[in-house]
Amino acid sequence: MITGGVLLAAFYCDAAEINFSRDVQPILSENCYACHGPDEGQREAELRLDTREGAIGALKPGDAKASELIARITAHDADDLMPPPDKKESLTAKQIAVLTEWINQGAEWGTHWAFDPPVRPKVPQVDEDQPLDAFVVAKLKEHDLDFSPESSPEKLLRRAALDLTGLPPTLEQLDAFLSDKSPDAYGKAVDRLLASPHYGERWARWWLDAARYADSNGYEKDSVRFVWPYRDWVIDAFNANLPYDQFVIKQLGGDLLENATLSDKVATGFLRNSMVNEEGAIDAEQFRIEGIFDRMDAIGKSMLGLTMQCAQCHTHKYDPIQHEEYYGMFAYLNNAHEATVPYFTKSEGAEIVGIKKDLMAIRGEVKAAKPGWDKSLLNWIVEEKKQVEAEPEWTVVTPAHMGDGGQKFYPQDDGSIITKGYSPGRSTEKFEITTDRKRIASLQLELLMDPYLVYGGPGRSIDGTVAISEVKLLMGKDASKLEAVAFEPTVADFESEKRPTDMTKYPIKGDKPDDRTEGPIAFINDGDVKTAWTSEEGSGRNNQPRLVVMNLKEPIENPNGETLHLQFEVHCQHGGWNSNANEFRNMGRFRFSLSDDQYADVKPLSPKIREIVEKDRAAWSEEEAGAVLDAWIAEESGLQDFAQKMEEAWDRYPDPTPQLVLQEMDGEGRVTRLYERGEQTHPKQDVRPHVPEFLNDLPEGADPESRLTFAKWLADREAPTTARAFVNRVWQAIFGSGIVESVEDLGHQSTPPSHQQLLDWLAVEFMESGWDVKALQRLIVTSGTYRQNSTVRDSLVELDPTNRLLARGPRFRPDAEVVRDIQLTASGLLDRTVGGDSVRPPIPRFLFDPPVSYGTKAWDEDKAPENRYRRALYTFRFRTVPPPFLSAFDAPSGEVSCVRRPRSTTPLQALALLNEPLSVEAAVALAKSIETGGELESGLTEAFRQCTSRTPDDDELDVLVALFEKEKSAGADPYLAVARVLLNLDETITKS
Amino acid sequence: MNRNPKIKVDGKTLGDFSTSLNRRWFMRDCGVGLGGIALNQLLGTSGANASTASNLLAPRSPAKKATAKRVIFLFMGGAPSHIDLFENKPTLAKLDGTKPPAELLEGYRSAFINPNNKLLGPKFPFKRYGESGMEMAEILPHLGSVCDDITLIKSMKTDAFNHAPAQILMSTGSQQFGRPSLGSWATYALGSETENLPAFVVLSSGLKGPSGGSANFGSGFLPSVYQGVPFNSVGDPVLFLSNPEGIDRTSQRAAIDAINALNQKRFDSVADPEIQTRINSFEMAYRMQDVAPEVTDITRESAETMELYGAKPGTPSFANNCLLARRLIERGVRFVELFHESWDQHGNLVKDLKKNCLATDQACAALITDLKQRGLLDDTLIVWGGEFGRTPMVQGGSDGRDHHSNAFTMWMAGGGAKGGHVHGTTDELGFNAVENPVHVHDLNATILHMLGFDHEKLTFRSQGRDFRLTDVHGNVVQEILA
Repeated sequence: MITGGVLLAAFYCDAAEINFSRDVQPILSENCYACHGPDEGQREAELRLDTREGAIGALKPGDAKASELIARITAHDADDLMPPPDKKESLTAKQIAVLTEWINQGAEWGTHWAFDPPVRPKVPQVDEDQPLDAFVVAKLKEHDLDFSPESSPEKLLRRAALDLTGLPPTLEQLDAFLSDKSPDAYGKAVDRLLASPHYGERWARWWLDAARYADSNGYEKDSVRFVWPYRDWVIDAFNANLPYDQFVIKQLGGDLLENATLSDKVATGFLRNSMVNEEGAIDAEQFRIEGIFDRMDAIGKSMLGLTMQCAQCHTHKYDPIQHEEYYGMFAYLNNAHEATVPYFTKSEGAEIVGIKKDLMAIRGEVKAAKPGWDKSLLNWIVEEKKQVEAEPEWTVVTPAHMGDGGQKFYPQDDGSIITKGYSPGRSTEKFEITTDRKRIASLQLELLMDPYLVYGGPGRSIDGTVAISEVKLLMGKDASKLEAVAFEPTVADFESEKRPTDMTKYPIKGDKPDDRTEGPIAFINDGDVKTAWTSEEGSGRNNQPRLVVMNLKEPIENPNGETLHLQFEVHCQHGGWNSNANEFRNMGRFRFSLSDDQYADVKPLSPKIREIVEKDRAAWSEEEAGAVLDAWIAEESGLQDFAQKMEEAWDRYPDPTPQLVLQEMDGEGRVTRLYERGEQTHPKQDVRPHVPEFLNDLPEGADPESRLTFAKWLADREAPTTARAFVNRVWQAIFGSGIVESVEDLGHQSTPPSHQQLLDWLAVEFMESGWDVKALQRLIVTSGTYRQNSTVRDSLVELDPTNRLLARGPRFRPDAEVVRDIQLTASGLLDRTVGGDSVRPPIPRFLFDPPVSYGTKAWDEDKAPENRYRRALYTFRFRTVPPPFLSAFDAPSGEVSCVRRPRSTTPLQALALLNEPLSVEAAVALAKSIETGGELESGLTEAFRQCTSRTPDDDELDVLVALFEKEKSAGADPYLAVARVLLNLDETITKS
Repeated sequence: MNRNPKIKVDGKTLGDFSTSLNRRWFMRDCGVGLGGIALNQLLGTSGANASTASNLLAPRSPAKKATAKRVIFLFMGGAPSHIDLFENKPTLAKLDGTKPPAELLEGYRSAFINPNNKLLGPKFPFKRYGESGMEMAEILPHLGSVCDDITLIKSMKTDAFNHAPAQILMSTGSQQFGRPSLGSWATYALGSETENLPAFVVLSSGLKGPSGGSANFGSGFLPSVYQGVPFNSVGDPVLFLSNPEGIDRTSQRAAIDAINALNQKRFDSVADPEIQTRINSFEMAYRMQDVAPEVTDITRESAETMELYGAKPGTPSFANNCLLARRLIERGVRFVELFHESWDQHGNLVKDLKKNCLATDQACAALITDLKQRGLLDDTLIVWGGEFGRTPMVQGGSDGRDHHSNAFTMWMAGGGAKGGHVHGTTDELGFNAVENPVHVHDLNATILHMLGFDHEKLTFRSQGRDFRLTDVHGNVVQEILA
């Protein structure tokens, strides 16, 4: 980053013509903007040097000597010298020379190069077919350099295969390519690689760094989340070559697209990859806002190519992002629910269609078997409505939560209470209220839906359900002397048969027999916390509001209206022991009501059916009509066989995967406020959604305050940084560093581009191609620049050690996941299945247990090869305990967005390559193939090719054979010995 | 080419500095105006430019005079009760069972409890120890016995009152994830004095792991060679240290020889200096396989030493980890961090504090004594503390305290910290740090100062700006420096 910058600055200063954006602004930004930049709050002496208007007072164009700016930066008196001597910054003689020359040349001003939309620059006139190469060669010529010779075909194919699919070529692919003598053999090979399903996997993993993807929530609890559908969405998007503008729009506003599909909603998982703090007693709103800060950071780094974090606390010191503008963008993201949708795979989706067909068929059978069914149905509806009308009048009460168990309870305008924050596996929550009611004869507990709950609720479990072990009501005139109130048998709109609690989902600790049962409503107040009533009706019907009504055995009489203390106790003891592992079944949103009257001893009509039958029948949807019919069939005498068949159909309903999404709120929703110093405890003025003024305008005709418009603005042809940022990151992935090395920041503080015109040319080409990602990558990997060999020529060692000028091909150790995938491919172990739930290859158990992990984490190691040997992209990732092999090779933990991995070479990597279980399994497999590969030398040659894509020379074979003989005579496994060596070669884990 | 150029900063030699970059290039372009170039520029690393473990970890001397060369950080995760251990507050004892003054609670945010819960007096008697007469609870007799070697900072305060954010703040100077930890800043600044062990080692004991997870010892945007390497107290001390079944040490040597021979051949044809780094990394790995089991084998210690710490081989414990920490720093490890996450006493305050003190008090004191005996205390800084304090108000019936960020206690020993010194005070309820408050940023600034670095100048460029451990905050606490 810095080194290259220093190097290139040196190159630039040879140029005679001073360019403001390239040569001058970086000096001003680095040394002056902190005190004389965009941030008004920090501005000294009312001088700003980031605009021409501000700077002109200190400049005399054409006459550096008469310019105050030059006087100050060259002052001898410490009081006059700028930057002040006590600051870290100080100007070098070269920088002073640049500024002087610039003023003498007329002090031409301009905007920062990356803040104007890119225009297609003129391609340099050099003898190259590809414009891309022309830009590179033109720059090389300035330094009397030429391209290196083309790479050998096998190394070229390997390089392209690793870049495009993240996998080395198989020997079949290699041989086919080597024997293809047609002139466009390489082009065809590239097309095959781009068409491979593994292409999407490789580039998905690349994007998932920016999307800070992980399979757990982070922070202390770090419990498992199920967001692989988002990961698969990214794989599919790359494989389908979804245009990049659509890729951006769907991830930021997929839910707001017209007729948004499930897949469009899943795309917004990008925004939900933020961590979630489930620690005891957190302030839910505080961490919701932290989540939005994180989203802003991710959008800035990955899509906008600008760092936003500075403007969270104050106006950006270097770039013209106002403090208020940060919150303007924040406001686009603020008006949404953090929702969870049920995701079904294609085959599960097909199963559901089948079940719905079966239900339709049964309904048809009922109609055929019961003439006059329609009349009976109508009668039933009339009766049910009558019963609803006869229900007692309820008074909603909102008792205050007592105690300090860690769950947080938030009263709502409708009197209901929403539970957030930490969710213990077993809870007892108490709520209290005082009342002067004259009579209390019954109590109603409604379990309500809310968009923040899994699948909308009504409970907090991973299925959106709840299990209540016991509800108690205590009453007394003296708060310290409360007595339990006795209940009559209780009714609910739903209850299931008695069944044991699911030990696999909600385990108890130790090996005691599990005597917990659940099901019938009577369990809710039978005085036994081992029994629970649950709202769980199975995956197809779990998520609907529920109603529980309890009559008091003896109504409370309070004729004089004295103050009564009421205490509601709700026990949810049917979760598991591990509060860090989604084993809770607490209430999500609920509401208590009281009544003077008793409730009739009948099963209440379910809230869902109530809502339907209150509407005119003509307004029912097909699904609603079906639901009413089913409710009637379940209760109508003589139809029990049909009802039973329906139950059997519902039982087949697949379990969904809870994918986190963003779901826009209805109506006005939340007000966004600017936070002084970024502190939530210091909210200032209201801020409406808007975008920074220095960037492109919002697209015309669209709702200027909609998140979808914000997304389209980002992916607009006029957006100055979006295409540049993407192209630059693709370049980085392929060549090892971006044309601008600071890929996350193209602003004033960015490192100088090595080939600015090339970057602009590529950005324009990319946008004009319809944001065609594969076309961009094809362009790059078929270029002459890319096809050079990577040998570090003597002349380059000195002149360009980091290969910024590209006088040779890229050579570096690829990302951690690619290292793993090379091992698996070379050894023949790789399972090539694409997509699906994350897998758990072997990782030392102690990492998942205290005192290394905060809580005990499940790691049910996958033994079956089809899971164990999946690509590293599918390895389950806990944020607080990231997979150690991948971490050793610099894979990020997913705690924050990462668009530039460090690349280290360490002894811990050597240990992982030599000794880590999967590395060893790969060696054993490769050893086997050598052993069964005929003559030793041919077995070795083939294995060598599997690892490096190249045929070993005699010297190399000699080293291997010598080791083989040595180990053999020592009584060790000689095949394993040579296999380990081959898998550990620098060349094996390097792209060259 | 010469791989070991001497690099100078401000006229001081930074020690051997092998680099994969060409020396002449390095001297030409980085040698100009070195005084103004931050350390990061010297290190010559970036995402693009694969960094070599050896050069990034080469030992370096700081620009300023350092009083500490290495750090042992005893992170008491969960947050120990300053009220019960260090704060003898007769007023609080007297007001036990009464409501806290309303004005104290203005704007106060608590985690679990209603802030208006009753006050709860200290649970243990206090005692004056040592020549300095430092006051501590009676359940800390061992620490008391070495109190003349420690600085007690009673006026710590922090910004967060949930565990993970507060731990991350303590460890990285920010509540936002993604920043380098103190240990990684220290190794970035000073490099390592061992080639056979990681520069920054992490040990864990107690009931749980740290709430902040591996972010507590991560390297953030610094090169990943600076991240903390967890050592396991049972089995392989370092992940994947043991050879697989069927591979003995001779076979491993033979394999590495062959790997390096083939790598060298490759280097001869493609001339990429990174290959040399790779060769070096395998040699280091081989040495680590030798050294790490030896260093973690505490049975090599004398019976007296074992007794001093209360260490018991084979039984993972904080005491074993303290002893191990000493063995690690003796061998050149720059930063050792011990996490002991057991201090979250929302309930069972009396029982669990006793238990925790039994598990840690003796070993903490032993570490000070042992380092002193070996002449290592002078330039080794020991820091003890948790992520925040605990409420003077009760949680639950009468035996628990909630999280509290306004005040807590930490201590330091050695490395240039004063002995027998108490810094700062809280109010008479132990609620607010009132005199000489020390924010976490101040603590971090002070630690870097002791290591010889100006916390405002130790920076790393990332995302378009120079980051530092203390962000835009922090003042060195001069009063605690010996």
